[in-house]
Amino acid sequence: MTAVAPASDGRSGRSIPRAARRNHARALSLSAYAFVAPAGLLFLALILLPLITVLILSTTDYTLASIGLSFIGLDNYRTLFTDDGAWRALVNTLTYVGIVVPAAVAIGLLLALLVHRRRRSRRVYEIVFFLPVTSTMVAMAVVWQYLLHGRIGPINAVLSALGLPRVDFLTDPEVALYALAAIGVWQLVGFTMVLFLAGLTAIPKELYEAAALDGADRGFDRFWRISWPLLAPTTLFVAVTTSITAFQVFDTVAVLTQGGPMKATEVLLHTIYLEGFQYFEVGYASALTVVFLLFILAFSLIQIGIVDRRIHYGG
Amino acid sequence: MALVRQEGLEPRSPGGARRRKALLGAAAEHLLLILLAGLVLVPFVWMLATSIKPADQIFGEPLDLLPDRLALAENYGKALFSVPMLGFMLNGLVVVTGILLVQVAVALFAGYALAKLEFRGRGLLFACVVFGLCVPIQVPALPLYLALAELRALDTYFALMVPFFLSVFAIFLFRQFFKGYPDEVIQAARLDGMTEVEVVLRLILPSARPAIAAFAVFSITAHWNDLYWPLIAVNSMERATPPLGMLLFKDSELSADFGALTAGAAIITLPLLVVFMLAQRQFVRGITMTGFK
Amino acid sequence: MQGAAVSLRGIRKQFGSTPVLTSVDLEVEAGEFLTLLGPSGCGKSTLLRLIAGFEAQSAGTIEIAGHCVDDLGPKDRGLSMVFQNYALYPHMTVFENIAMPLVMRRLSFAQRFPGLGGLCPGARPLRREIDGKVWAVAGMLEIDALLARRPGQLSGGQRQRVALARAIVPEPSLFLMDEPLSNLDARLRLQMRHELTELHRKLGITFVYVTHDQVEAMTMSARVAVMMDGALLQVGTPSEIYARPVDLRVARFIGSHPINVFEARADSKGVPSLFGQPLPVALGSSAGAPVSIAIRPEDLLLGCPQTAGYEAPFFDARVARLEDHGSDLILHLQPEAAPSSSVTVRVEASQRDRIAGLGEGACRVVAPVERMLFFDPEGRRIEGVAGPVLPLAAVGLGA
Repeated sequence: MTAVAPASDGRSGRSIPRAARRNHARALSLSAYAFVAPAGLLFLALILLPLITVLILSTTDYTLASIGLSFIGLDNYRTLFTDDGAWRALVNTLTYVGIVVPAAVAIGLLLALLVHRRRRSRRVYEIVFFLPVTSTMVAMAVVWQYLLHGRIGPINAVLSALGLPRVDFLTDPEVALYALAAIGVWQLVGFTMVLFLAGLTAIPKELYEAAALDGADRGFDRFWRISWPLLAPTTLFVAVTTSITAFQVFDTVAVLTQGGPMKATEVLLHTIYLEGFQYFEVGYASALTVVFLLFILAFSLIQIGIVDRRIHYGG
Repeated sequence: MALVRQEGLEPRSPGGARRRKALLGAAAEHLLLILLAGLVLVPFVWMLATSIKPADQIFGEPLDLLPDRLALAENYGKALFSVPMLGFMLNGLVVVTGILLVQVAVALFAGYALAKLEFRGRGLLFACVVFGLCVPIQVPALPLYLALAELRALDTYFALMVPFFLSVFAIFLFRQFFKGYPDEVIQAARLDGMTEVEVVLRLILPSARPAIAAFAVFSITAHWNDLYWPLIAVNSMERATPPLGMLLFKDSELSADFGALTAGAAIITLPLLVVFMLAQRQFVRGITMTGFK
Repeated sequence: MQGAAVSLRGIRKQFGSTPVLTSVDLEVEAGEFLTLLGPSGCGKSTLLRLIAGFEAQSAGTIEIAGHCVDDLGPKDRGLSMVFQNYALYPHMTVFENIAMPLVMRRLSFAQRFPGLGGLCPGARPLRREIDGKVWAVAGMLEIDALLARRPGQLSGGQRQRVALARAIVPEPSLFLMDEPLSNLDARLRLQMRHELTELHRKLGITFVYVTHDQVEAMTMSARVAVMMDGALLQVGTPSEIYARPVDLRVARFIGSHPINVFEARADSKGVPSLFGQPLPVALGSSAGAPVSIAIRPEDLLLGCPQTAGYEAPFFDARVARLEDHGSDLILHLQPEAAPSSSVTVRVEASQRDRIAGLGEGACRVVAPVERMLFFDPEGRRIEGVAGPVLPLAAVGLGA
């Protein structure tokens, strides 16, 4: 009984009047709004309003040259599916993704498996393979233009030294897209390798030891029964992330081929750039942009799904 | 004979046979890695080699790595002075710095509010952030271009920077990072009379250094290397960033002078590569984070 | 089953220039339960990993069942292991986890090849045989209801059983365990201790068990090997380790209440003194040298010297603190002769009333000399010779 009194005394002594507490809470949420206001306004101005504008423009025939604009419904989208150029660009982009992603994932995985086991030389290899990721693609594309040059390029010099026919890598419509894809793979393998290295590091060493005891101690068994299944979430994640990157291919096309020869390397972003900022077909470019965004959103949804599942994995 | 010699050479150590086998495997793996590393390095090696070779050798003997005659001054001179290469670099520096400062300032406070403050609309705002992560710059580019044209603001540093002032990625990253900051410390600081701004600047900011460093690497690389938006927002040499400058250089009358072109490529690529070599850890972390955005 | 299941000779291991193990020799009898006991970082886990073959020793040889295994990989050494965190394959069901060692050993590379393996001749009957063995082992460990689950869905105790099942199923002759109970809560640990002992009895194979928990070591194993600082200090039965430690470090490490250690010096005849009182013992080899006198808390008696059955050495002390542990009482005393030092005495709970009377007061502590352990400055134990030297009266009891 006596012990209770001082305790409650102490509490009332420390307690803050209710009004003051309410003021405090209001002050906190006021500063919260002040803190998020710049971000919120920028979100409206730089993402949401432009996005709505694109959606609206995609249903108009607006061009920079025209004085007024009229709504034409889904005509732009209809054109898109009948227009040879746009269709070609979409097919080319997906072909490019279809080559670059499996190759970058497979080679990145191979590199990660090899580099993971190095102790002293690991850093050196990490730096080397990551170099293309950090370098300016436009500048390196110029170097590639020289390397792949049909007449004076070193690669063709090697081919003729081996007695093989020369290849016009960037000017032959049959080859150009594959040449660009090769450059894309070159740039991305370091990125996929590092993601796979992170995945490999997360596999506990004891699992490999248990597997060694059980008889899966090297080569195929070790890979097939331990590394590969445990890397599965990582692999899926890497594939989707790489797809998003590869889908946005632009720099190499702009520098090396401008979509040529004969639209063989025309890709979606380059078409959007040409239609929107060279021919100023704003309405049509907007429709293309919407299609572009839909693809990216689809990839992103898969990606978010994987991240959620991966957190659930573990244990 | 051979057996005896082997025994004699290597002192018999426990598990020697196992170790020899492992060593052989490691050697094979190294060989494969060195081969692949060599392939990846080819463009860099030829960039540097070509940039110091005279034109006739570039055309005549493309496989020679070493120059007959050092054409360093000639090629790099052309790269530096036939176009305002140093101006491009300066533009790049201004743009990259400006973008980074605004991004961090905006995201620091927004990230803190999302992580640690209760307010109505927090869930909505976070949903916006996640949605924003899925919208690449090419989507709002067209309306932004039209708006900037309307404001007669094209061809300025502002035009180059403004679409990137908001980095939802930075907000997302900082929010995740700040969530781990102990609430008790913030409560104690408030009891001591710190305002919320002071909490952010004096407690959160110093603790956020690793996150900011990683984000800085990501942001700097992305915007130093970006071509798409500068190509749209700028059409004069005076405001061109390095990638745009490189493109203009390539399309100039020197378009077939690979000595000068590779010299230009080297000049543009080198600063970032040097920083990368110095801060390799942060670089790898910063750029791989894009994978987790 | 006779002879050594494992024999280690001159095992040394260093990582870079850091020595982790300095010359370990050990023979493990076939069928015995031997525990490697020591504080963390003493090298016991490294030793186990060398036996398993995960790492190669820097020097020395390892024999398992009479054959040198230095050139064999882990899977060819005929042993199984239970890991501290169980190391279950998270992507496989419990069934697949347990079947893994059999699949890898019994089926050929073609027969276990993903997808096509089932088509290979002979694969089906072998698969059926493996299924039978998995069910049998799962039944024995009472986890047959869990076979379809994945490790992530199991409790700690269930994971432990799955790990045991996976280790038992290939019928190894040697069973290695690395702190297998450390991730379980106290009650489950007690139960598993009992079950592991039972399992050892049932299987009749050799167990080598690593732990830092002396209670586990003392209660489960027939022999304990105490390791410290990368060396094997003593191998013996639990009671030998407790009562006759060969090294002061072992004496200090073993025992739930730390042993009392007094620094003293032997005189020219080798007679040490405790608090100035010559002891009725002679340490021939230590004449004139410092010695450490150690005695366990329960071996000190409270009361008059005659409690020991003879006129034993004694000293007076003040009670600094009394801890009641329920089943026994622990007294922390300050000897009057050296008030800054502390002496621990354990007494049975039945004496609680007598002790309560002491309060903050003084008491007399009797130290029976036959319970004392003597160590030289290097920490090695020296045997004392109970001296005829001692006319008991000379000790001068009472005052």
